[in-house]
Amino acid sequence: MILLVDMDAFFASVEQLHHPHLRGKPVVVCGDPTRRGVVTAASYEARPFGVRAGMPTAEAKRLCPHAEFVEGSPRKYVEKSLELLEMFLTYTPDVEPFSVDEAFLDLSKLGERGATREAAVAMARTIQQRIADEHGLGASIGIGPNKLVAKMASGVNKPRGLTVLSEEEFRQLFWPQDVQELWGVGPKMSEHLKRLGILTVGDLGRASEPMLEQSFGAVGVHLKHAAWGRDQTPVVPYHEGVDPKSMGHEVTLPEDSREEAFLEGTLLRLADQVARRLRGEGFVARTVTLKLRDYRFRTITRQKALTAGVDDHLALFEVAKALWRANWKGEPLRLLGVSASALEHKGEGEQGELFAQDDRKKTLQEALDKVRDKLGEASVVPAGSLMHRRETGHVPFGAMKRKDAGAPGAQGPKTPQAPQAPITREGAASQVKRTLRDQKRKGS
Amino acid sequence: MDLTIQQGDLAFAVGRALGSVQQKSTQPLLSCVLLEADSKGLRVTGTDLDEGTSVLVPCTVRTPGKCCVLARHFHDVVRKMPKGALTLAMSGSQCEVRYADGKGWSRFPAQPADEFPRVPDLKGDMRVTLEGEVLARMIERSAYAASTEPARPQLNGVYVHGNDKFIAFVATDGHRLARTSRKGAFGELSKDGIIVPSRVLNSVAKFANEATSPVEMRIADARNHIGFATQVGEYQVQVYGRLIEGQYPNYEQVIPKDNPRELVMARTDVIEAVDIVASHADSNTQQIRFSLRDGKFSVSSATADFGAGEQSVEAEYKGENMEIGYNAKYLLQILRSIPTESVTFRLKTALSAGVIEPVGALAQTDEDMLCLIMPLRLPDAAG
Repeated sequence: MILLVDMDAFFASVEQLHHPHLRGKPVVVCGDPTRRGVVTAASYEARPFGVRAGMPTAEAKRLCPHAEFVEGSPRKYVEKSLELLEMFLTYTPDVEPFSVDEAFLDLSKLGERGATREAAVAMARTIQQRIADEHGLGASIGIGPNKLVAKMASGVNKPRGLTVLSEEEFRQLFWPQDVQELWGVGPKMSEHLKRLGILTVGDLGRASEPMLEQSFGAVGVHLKHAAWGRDQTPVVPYHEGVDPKSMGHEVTLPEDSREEAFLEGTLLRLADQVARRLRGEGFVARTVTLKLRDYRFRTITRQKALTAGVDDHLALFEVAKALWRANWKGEPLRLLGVSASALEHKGEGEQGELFAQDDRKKTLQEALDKVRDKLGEASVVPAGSLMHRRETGHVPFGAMKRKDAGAPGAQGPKTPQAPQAPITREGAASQVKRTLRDQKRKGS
Repeated sequence: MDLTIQQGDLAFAVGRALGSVQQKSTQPLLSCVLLEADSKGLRVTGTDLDEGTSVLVPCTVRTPGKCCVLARHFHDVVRKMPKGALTLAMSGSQCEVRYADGKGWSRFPAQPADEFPRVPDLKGDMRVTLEGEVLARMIERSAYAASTEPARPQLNGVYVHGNDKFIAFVATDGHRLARTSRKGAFGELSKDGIIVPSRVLNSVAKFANEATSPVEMRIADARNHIGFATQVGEYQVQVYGRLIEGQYPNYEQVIPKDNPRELVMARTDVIEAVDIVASHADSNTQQIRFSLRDGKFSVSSATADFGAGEQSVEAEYKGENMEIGYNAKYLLQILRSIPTESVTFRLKTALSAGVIEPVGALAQTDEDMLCLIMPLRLPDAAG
């Protein structure tokens, strides 16, 4: 049997845990709440008002004006996530951190203790209880014969639910439901399926395999199996985790912009964040991708392959900037993104350089990384990314609230604890993985 | 504007000017070619501000004038028109072309020519002359090695320098380098040399081979622009471009002088081996392995995704056993640029620059070439 433990409103609950005055109130976790952005998480108290993760903060404010809007602090979530993983490991060695607030637990190698439905339910109940007692948090657990069913089951009853489904029960429950409810079917895919007359999960289960294959390739066949509640994907314990395929950061601008220096500064900041992640996880990238979304929500991505792997922010920035220069026609932009792919472990197949690189650059980079590991992302930033700063007193990186930043013109954080990277689920998940990898490295 | 021109002449001029027009331009006028008719003939110019091509072709001008038309569209239509005389005239705000003795006509929306970027005037500046085929060959042997990445803009071009004994073209992307030189007096270039964008040279290479007069390189006194001018039959062709600013790295310093291990083999054999074996290489790094053992030489590659392959190549090798990794794409480009039957690799360690050179004299005995390649670090490499 496989368990999926999904933390209920994780970010919001952690905030409520740390700040007693938030308990029982609608809480919305977002970036700097005084700026434009999207909701990262909403507490269960906020959900009846229609507040959902991913919606613009402004809309959430309209729907639930009395909610507490809290700026997320990834470090807390990452720490909590790691503590929970530690606990899961006491039940089975096969734990796959699926995201910052979800983990798969594979019980199939535990013999009798994990083989039966009853044993799995009993274990799930203890885990749920311990999460509540020891961490003061709620979790919903799905149990199934494979990852797909476990994942879908975890969503059936929330919060603090416990749902066990066999493949048969899975079909009974989900076949009447909208096809988009199936894990792996996104809005675009769902639209495509509906054009083919496939409206429910059941329709998908009954659809002809050759037709699905023709329309969606191998994915189509996989989807049909998924509709039947079948899934072969193994739980990958994090100590044998697969390498990431890409790393990226994107940002919705405070307001649509066509101001070149500002956009360039933002690209530099994004490149810097991506480079930090590359170095943190020990990769170099051979492809850089730029994402632009304009005020009419038209989105383009453009990429360039490089002749050698890079992990420094200037190299990423120069490529992103050149792509931007070549593809931006001057329309107001809403979102910018930079990502790195074609990743390789640093040092493997490294292309030699004819012209000696300045070692001081490397030394400086390492020193800066150490400072930021210790004091936070905003402690040292590339000067050019300060072009991102437009209002007096506003500190880039969404690190500090404007009112705390002190007198007009204050440029840096006053306390080393405050600054942190802007909050994203991906960012937090990456920090979890990085920490796990570091632990593994130290252990071996 | 009113003139009569041969279809072939107009198609040639527009086609060449189109070579400097960017497919997608942020300024609408830069998607156009400029047509200018005066007593000298019809001049057609295309540019993207970094580079431009201008072609002057003979024609009978009744009324001088100028206008701009969409480059690609105009070219696509003109090139399909039947051979013979065409008349070109303004009809309101449109440029009208009559063909087949007046049996057909096409009208193209025309833009005013006043705002079209001006061609830099390079008269009276420094001049260097090379035969067209020599220039084309020197470009072919060097430009491929230039960088296309924005990180080090100086490397996006070919470094051209010389003195009273030779002229040299050098290009590198920091991982491989190609240098070709030719004997002759080029004292004009002795000061610092210039960096010509490889894009400009690629446009030059297109007509240099068919030039019927030597190609004149004109370098602006301010060393910010370069022009290449020649005759192709009756046509006067000019390509001009902005030079790349900045200091070219001191490349002579990185050419190894004392690489003791010498590997000599037939060029086509090693090209074949590298080409086949690279099918199993990582698609990003293109890494293949040279194994030099007990006088035997083989090329191999292995990846989880694409399997593995190995090929022995007959070679003369003097030196200790060694394993060295290379980017197959770099190797193939270098090997294909060398004209001789055999090539020599001069190596030192698995991590240091290797020299690849032709064996024996080139067909043009006053010319010379040399290539450098940096290895890819193998997992088991020792310095």
